[in-house]
Amino acid sequence: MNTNRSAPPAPPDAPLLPVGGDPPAEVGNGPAVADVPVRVIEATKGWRLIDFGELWRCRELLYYLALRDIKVRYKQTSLGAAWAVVKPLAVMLAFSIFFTRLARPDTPYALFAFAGLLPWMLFAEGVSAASGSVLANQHLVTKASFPRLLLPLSASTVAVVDFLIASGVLVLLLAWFGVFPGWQIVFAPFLVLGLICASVGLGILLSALVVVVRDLRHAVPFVVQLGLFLTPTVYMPADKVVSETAATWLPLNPAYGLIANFRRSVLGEPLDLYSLAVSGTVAVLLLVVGCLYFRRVERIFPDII
Amino acid sequence: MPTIQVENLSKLYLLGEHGRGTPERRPVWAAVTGAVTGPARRLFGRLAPGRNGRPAAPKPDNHLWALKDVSFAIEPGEMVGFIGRNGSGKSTLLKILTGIVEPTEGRATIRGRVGSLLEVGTGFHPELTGRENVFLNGSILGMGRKEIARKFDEIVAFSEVEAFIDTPVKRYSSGMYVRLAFAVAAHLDPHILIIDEVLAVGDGAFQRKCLEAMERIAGTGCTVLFVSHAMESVRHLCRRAIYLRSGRLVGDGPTAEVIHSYLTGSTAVTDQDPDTTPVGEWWDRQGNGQARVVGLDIADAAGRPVRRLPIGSTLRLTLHAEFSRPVVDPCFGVLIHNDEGQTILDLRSFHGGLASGRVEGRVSVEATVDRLGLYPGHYRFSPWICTGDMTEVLDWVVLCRNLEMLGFAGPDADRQIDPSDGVYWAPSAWRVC
Repeated sequence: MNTNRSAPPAPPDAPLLPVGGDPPAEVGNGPAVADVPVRVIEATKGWRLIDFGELWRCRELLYYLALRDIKVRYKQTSLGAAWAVVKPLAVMLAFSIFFTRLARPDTPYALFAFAGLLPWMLFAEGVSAASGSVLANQHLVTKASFPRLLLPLSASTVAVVDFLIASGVLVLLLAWFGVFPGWQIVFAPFLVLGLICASVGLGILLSALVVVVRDLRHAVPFVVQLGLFLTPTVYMPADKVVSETAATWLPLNPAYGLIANFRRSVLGEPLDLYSLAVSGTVAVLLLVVGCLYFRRVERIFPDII
Repeated sequence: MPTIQVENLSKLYLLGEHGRGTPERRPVWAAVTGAVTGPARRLFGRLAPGRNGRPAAPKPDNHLWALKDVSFAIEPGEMVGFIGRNGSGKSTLLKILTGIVEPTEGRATIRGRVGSLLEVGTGFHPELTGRENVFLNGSILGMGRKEIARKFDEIVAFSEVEAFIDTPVKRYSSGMYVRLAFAVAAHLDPHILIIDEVLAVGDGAFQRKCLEAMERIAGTGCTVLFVSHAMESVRHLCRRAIYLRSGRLVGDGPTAEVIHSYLTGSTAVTDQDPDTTPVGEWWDRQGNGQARVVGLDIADAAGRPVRRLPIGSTLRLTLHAEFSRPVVDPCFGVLIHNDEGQTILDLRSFHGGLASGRVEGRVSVEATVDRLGLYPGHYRFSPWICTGDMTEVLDWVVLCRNLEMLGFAGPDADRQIDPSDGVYWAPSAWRVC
């Protein structure tokens, strides 16, 4: 018998007998278990590619997440979606003032710069938004179950929407300067798709890396800024400005070849097949590698985030 | 076939940031070299994490098994409460069952669509309107667009925020926010609903509404897993409870029994209910048997037996005992515990100046507490009798009676009292001086 001077003894905190999974006394009548989905949850390991079936089943969630990101972006701003137009225009004006000497005689520099800035912003903003998306949605990652890939995917749509809006300005600029695109314009949509592929791929890769190595969170924005100068946005194609070597290696930056060729297709010039091939391959590789790495580490997101 | 079959489920976490020792104790040179090599090691260690974040050779002292070898099966239509103190692994278990976290070992097989409610308003965005958030939150919870559209009016009616449905939710009061969020979840109809502590929010009226909604969901044959600190809601809703302690399953059975073992830390063996079982027959008691508490009457000032009492009213307790042999000056007492098993009051006859003298046979003692200040909530009583020198327990009946405390009544009814603000109220006189 336990004794205690001031109060009845506290109950002993002895280890309890382990109680197994005894079946309950009563069982209700649940819904028929014939056609319900069965899910086995256990530790997984190794590399996995995308589960397209799961993504397809969750397409409506992707839609609502994307809608959220798009709506929230310009809420309570007076200009609203006009910001998608103002930003590239402002950069274009700044560069037009300082860099007109880089212009070729046959193309107005403003148009030249805008046709480069527009796809660059699609790429850069897509990467920035997607790379921070998993961290920004911590509460969802730790509290809800859904394919994590939806986060960088939905974040990227913001850049695509901005791009579509600003494309209207490109059309107006073309008309203003009286430049009529040639038949090469038919390649533009495919080049945009390639750019989206590169930006989503890099974004997915970075969004997972940023969770694992937080330091990258600080590195991503300024590396993206530097990227502006490795990409033929505001200056001439590399072969005319820098060396032959640069022209050989720069297309490894997927934005390089895709943006250069996007502008060529818009301004009615022949495509540069070398840079297109290299950059296109890099873009596809980025998407595959990004997804592979993301899928490998997404299982530990809620543990380490 | 069970809806949920859990076999040896375990989850390992590493303590600290990758389990490095305390930096303060290291010599200076180690700190300097560590500053250079540390980030590099951390970087490479993280880029290629092992399975479930486990580095190649984890040190055992960094290990925390948040869940260890947990096994159970839940049949279709069951409502099961999960109880345990903070850090006992309840939330980890639910996160594994909802597919948010991967287990380190073991397996769970789940048959049916799972709706999880680990938090009220998961994914609610403050900038979006109520309407937009209903669709976003609904799709996060697993509802399709058409399904949400069909139930939209019902959801809004349940939440009582019709007038503000097109206002950004950042303008909502916290009550409105919670109501809207719960309304979405209440209209999910999954095969399995997993709920974590959501009833801890909102005012009393809305909490009741939530409980009703959960009962309605349970009535449809849905399997419900419910985690809560509020024993009363678990007791009310669930017939079966599972008790986790330090990541291990230590109790699984009828709710009353498991809750009792949780509150007392003892092993449960019965299904007696404190509302109906006579104190004299209560199973969980300790003492040398020289006396036995055979009754505990809980009454108000007028001596009427009560189950509920407004705060600030008089409590009259009558303890009936039978002494099998004479005892000189025994001490009588009653412990009052809150819903989580903590002892709030220790009433004893010696504090009240009772000198009972030599006692034998049947005895009743009465204790009166003027203006009982227990905050609104559920309480349990444990009467006891000790020898006069308090060295030996004659009888101690653990948690054998219930009392629910209510808010102020009568002339004081307009006084506000919120259970989250305190534990015990005392009358106080105020003046300007």
